Amino acid sequence: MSPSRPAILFFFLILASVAVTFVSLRTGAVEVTWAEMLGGEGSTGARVFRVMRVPRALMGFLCGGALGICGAALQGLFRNPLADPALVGVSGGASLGAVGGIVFAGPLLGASSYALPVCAFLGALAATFLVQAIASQNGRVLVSTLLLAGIAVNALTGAGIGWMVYGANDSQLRDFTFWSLGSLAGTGWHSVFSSLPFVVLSTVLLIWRGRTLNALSLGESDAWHMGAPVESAKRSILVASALAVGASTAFTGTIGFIGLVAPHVVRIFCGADHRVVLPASFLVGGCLLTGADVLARIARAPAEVPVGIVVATIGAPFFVALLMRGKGQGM
Amino acid sequence: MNTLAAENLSLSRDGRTVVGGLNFSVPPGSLLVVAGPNGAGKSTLLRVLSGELPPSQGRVLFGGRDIASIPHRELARRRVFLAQQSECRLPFLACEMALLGAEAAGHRGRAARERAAAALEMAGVSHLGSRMMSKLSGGEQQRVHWARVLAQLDEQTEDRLVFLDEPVSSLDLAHQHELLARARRLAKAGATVVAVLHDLNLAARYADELLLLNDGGMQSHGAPAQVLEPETISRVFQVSAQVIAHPTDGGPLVVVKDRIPNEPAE
Repeated sequence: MSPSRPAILFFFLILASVAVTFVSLRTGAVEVTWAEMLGGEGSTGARVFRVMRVPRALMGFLCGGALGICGAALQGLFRNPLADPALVGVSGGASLGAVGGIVFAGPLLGASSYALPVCAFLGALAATFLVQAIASQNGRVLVSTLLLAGIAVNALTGAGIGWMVYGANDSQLRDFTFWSLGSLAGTGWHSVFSSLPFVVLSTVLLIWRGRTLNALSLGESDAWHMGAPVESAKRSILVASALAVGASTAFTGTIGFIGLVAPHVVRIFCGADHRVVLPASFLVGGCLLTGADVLARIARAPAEVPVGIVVATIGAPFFVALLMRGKGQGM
Repeated sequence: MNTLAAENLSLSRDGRTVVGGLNFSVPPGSLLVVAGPNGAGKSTLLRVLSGELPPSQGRVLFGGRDIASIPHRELARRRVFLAQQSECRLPFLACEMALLGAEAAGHRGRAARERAAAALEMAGVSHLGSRMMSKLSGGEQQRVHWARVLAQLDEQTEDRLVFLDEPVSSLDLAHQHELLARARRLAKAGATVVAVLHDLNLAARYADELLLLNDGGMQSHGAPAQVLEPETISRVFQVSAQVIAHPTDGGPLVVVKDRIPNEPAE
């Protein structure tokens, strides 16, 4: 691999990130002028820009990035290109945690904007460790069992959410409905600030584990022989993934495919080195979700489509195309 | 100079004792080959000797220290392990695989890349460097992993432990001999090499010492010429065999005639 290839990728990714963010800032029912974007005061456009557009674009990028980097990390950890936060049950756990928070800890959610992501994080963490424990045998994660365990945990979290919603009162039901629509609409600065620390912390943690993830992709035994801190890395990667997915799910609902697609796209261009794949997956994931959110706003304007629907509509065929392309490449 | 020693070692796998009461030592600078029938516990023994698995009884000493007490990082700098199979489902290139070994040895950046390139050269797979691992044949993959292990071993060979679990299982004849000759040179340079092999003639050709395992424990341990007796071979492997003098070097040459049929039960 020529060393300049990651550099070229990052150049284009940053360019794309800026472009998508810009388009996202310009898209919406209210026309925002250049002057208003550059700090105009008082007018409706300027307020819409400051209070709605900027946090929304940031949030899309943060959540998409979190899903992208977690997908890359989980795929490396489980040595399986099919691992995806939604597929292996992490997102399901996060949803269950968030709904549990809405139903059982309503007053707490009102008191602190961190409460919802913390609930989602705890749910994601529990699901992650459950799935991992089910799929581990003699210290090795059995991939087929892992995917089956993910399906089981997803079904279980779905059922749990169903029970809770069934027993919820009117105001909880309203909160739940808003949450489960899972769109970036109505994102305010408080959501950005509540998820930002989680996403930044886990992103740094995961990127720092890049070298260890490289060793781990040969299996835990080989990684151990190469001096990698296998157990501590496994734990911290799972916790960091749960953190990031929890923070993103808490505000946007379960969004599939980004965690699956983003690392695949990166690997096609740059191979498997996690020191490149992790940060690049963050950027790709961020671009994907922000871009999907733009489409969600213009597809049936002035109404908005939930962004999850857009992601799935584009993501699924795209993923199939990847599979067809990668058939011969062992992906 | 540090000696690798097994002290009253017992190993179990899935709760079943496969090897019991093993006592032996491998002096530095020598190559020990472990052979035996399937399921005799060869791979388990290798993983216990390397410190990866704890023995069910007894202990492994390296330079007089219990190997379990050597910090993981220090051990990884002094010990390399070539597994029977290393799966890799992510699209790593062969050169990146070797780079993993160089980085495990503590090299970074340019030094690591040079070290990896040198290791690929040593393993005779430089030409595969830019190929994807999943596109290589089984034998080619095995040689790239050998390069990774060589890169982790570094130039320093004294007081180093090299564990090879069936390192030639998918290699052609030329590469079998090339790999084992390299392993032997590592031993001559001061490393302690322990290799699991199935081919007794390869063992006879390259081993300083041979350890034959059978169900339940050590059958024989010693120089290949001492261990490779026709009776021992038939007892351990259930084949009728003759041992003749190698036409060129005079060492033992095992000629297997056929399998000894199982005793009919009752």
